Amino acid sequence: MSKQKATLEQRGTFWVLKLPAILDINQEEPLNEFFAKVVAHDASKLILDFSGCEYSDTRGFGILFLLSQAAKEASVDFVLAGLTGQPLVILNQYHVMDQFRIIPSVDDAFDG
Amino acid sequence: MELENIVSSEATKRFLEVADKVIQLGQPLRLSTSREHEIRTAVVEALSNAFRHGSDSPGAPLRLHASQPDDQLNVVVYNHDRRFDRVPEEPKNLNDSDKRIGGWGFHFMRTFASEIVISNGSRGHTFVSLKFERDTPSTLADVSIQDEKKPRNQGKYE
Repeated sequence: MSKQKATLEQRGTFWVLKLPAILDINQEEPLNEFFAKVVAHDASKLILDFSGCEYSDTRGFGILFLLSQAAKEASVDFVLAGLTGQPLVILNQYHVMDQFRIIPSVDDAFDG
Repeated sequence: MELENIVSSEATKRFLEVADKVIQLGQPLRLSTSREHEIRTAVVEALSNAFRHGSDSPGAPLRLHASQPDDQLNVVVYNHDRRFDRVPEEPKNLNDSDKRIGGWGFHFMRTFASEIVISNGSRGHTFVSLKFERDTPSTLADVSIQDEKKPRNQGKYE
């Protein structure tokens, strides 16, 4: 599995979107396509798996914010999992952590 | 450092490589891991801004100069074909109903640097100088704009 590309996996009505090592503007199109697929399948929950994401620039976070808004409008539970390192440090600086549901790992989403 | 032949799909990766060299230069400051992430982010955003907004001259190389005098880390990024007449506005709060995404790159440069000097050169280019200290600043960096002057770290780019 390439670290450079996002991947999408369905687990029941949950979907796991594994983010690539670098999240930037180049991921806008594939992530939007994945999101459209998730909504088309009446997903109840979309889990963004950050465990392989080592770096996000501000445009990458911008994509994330827009997706979270779209998920809210589509009544899809939007969850961030596996945040560590730079993405976690920078996301804290946006002062928006309370807007997201954040869990330690993807597995926790299935336990809870 | 000079970056040539940058393509959009590989740009962030290459900017990260340069930012990592800047972090290496800052080793005497004994930066925390979190602080390294902050400085790396600010440097990548500065390079990304220069890359995206200098598009009037495709293929123009990006240049960055870094130095580590005393207890600080200085970075200068050369912006080709770009001038600043005013300090970029702070982005709107993402909690507001009007959620614009733009402007956050410069915001993070101000958040993580202790000082930013923008020097508008006589040939339509700009030098953006960022000063980093060991610890995260408690306030947004002041930004000053100078015209027709060379940057703080003038001289040869390496």
